[in-house]
Amino acid sequence: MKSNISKIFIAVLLTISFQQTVKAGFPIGNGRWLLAPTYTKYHADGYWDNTGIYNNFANKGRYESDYFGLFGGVGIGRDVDLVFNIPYVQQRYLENGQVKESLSAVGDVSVGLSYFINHFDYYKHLSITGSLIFPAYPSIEQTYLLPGFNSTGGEIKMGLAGTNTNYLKDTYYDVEAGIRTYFNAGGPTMFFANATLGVPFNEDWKLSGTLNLLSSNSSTGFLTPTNIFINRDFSYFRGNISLGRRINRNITWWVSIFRDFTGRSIGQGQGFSTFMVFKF
Amino acid sequence: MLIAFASIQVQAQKPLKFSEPSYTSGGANYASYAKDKNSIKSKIIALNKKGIFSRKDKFVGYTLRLENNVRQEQTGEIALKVINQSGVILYQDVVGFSIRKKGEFEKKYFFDVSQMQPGYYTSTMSISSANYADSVSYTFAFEPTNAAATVSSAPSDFVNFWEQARRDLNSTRADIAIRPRPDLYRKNHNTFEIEYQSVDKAIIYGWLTVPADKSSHPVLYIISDYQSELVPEYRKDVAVLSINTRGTGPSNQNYNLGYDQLGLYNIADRNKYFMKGVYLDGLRGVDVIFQAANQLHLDTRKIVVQGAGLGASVAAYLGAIDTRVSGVVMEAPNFIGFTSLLNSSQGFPASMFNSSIGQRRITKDNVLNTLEYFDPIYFAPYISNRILVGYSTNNSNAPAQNVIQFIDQLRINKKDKYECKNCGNTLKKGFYGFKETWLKERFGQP
Repeated sequence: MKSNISKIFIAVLLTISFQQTVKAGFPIGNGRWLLAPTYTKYHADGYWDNTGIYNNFANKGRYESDYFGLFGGVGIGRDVDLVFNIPYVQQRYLENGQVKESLSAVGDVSVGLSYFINHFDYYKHLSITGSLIFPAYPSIEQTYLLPGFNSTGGEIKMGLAGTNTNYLKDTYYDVEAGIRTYFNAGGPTMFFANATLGVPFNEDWKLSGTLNLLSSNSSTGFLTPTNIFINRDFSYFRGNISLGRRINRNITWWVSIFRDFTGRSIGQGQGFSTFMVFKF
Repeated sequence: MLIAFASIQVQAQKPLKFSEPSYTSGGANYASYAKDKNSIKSKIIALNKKGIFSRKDKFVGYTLRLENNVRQEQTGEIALKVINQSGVILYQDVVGFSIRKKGEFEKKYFFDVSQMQPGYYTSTMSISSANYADSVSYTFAFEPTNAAATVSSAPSDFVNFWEQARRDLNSTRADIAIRPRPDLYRKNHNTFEIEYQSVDKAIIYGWLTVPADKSSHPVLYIISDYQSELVPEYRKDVAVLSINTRGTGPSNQNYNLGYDQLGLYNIADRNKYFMKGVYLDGLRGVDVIFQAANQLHLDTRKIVVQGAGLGASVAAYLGAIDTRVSGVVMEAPNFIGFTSLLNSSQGFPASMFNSSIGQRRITKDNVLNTLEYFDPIYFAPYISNRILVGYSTNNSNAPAQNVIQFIDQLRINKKDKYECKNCGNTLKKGFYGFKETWLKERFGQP
């Protein structure tokens, strides 16, 4: 059972990792909209155990997920954005090529407000974002493939995003760090930090790289019969490279690949994403 | 200890009094306005970083520090003059100094808060010794937002004058030419050379750059500053029309005058005055946008006019008079608030206008009677578009109070001002960053 524990909670993690590429740390703009539909294919053939040692899943086990998300926001003013994320995820666990377990469900929906504390010289922006997280899936599924922690939660994060005007001219960065906690006895409480550097090649093409660090901690590992399989103590370090192509002034299309470099009590994931960013 | 002083001219305000503080406040903002000549280096250390004081401050003022850079003692004197925004001299005195070799001398100029009226003050110190002569000026504000506007009313025939001016322009052939310049094409932009005729047979030149894709592009219309030539500007997803008004760059046929002469051209006759031509040159530029609109895919519903210095005044004029313009950006306007400008500023253009007084029997009233027809402050109530005004609190060419009066006269609800604190005669990066955000809002671009 140990291996099963280690391969869950992919959906929530994907949500956190891709928003950076969308330049979420920049203000959307008064009265403007941003919509970013995304698709991510994720798979893991093994996992890191609680000491960080890598093991393959038993019986040629393989975890796969197809993640469909809609991230968006609207600029309420120059300094305030409303942001949301709605994920839908299909998960499968296979052994020897046979599907052992699967679940398709809407994951944790999040809604939040970003407030820009300081625009400095308007080439960089300091923001604080507070979000609420609502599980949108059936709460009594007896499966370890639950796409969340089956609990409402809250997240607060600080971000600094900007465009370099002197060194590395025209490149942009977006760094953020935050804490996410779930409102139940077992938590967990997660700390995360993300950093993105983007390099435009010309008006149409740009490349960006993102590093994600996440650590989830809980005082009680297992709590109730319904979430007995839920793994609350884990961490990982992920890298992501994305290539963006501007379609027109409102639409950019991105493709990206990602891979987990190290982790603890978590599957070693890798995969690719594609997403469109609509701004209007 | 309060020291009252003797020779004060009192008009609008009570005199300032000096007070000697019992302590030294550690404001550590260093701003040097003097040339760094070898013998003495001067620095102004403001008590308040931003140069803006309020009633809560115990003292208003600054410290002048002189550093002797030569290996001999220097003695000399500092002549101080403090004027308010109306040019009234509130205080002047002369103090001697003596600095040992490689030494320093500090003089504290602190003003008693209870004696101050809201507004802007400029103090000028002329420093002289055997080896050195220079002057340093420092502008500071005391509760500037409470300063009473000292705007006089516009001339009674102001509207008629400008209606007639428009008829003058309409009766002048435009002869607009829009010539492709393939040699200046860029990968994503096409470049056009613009030529047209304006009043008084002036031939005006400029540039139009248009993104090469076929979608409809908003237009940023940039008007040149006083004798400051514009070159083609290229912007993502925005067409840019840059016009050099008469006397600037190639548009100088018949107006090939020196820097301190152009602005005085026909100053005694408002109907033939240089600035009237400049304003109408700017107005005809909007016609160019409409003429080019169909062929070059310009979105004529989104035209923002932008200008710096004199160009800012033209932008205000267009915002007031031309309903085809949807936004106005004014950067560091300095041809503004002429009555107080001529009294209070020693910088350009006040120095140019003041130099004309007395020549060819021109009086100060002659000059002001002409200039008041071109004062952006009188256009302000007619501006109905979104407007962004950027100014510096201690611009020595145009006191900030003049710009604030302009902003106060705007009748629209949504006006954006960007106050650059202690930026001298330029605007800093923060303004240009905000301007980009502001332009995107006007152009409806993400």
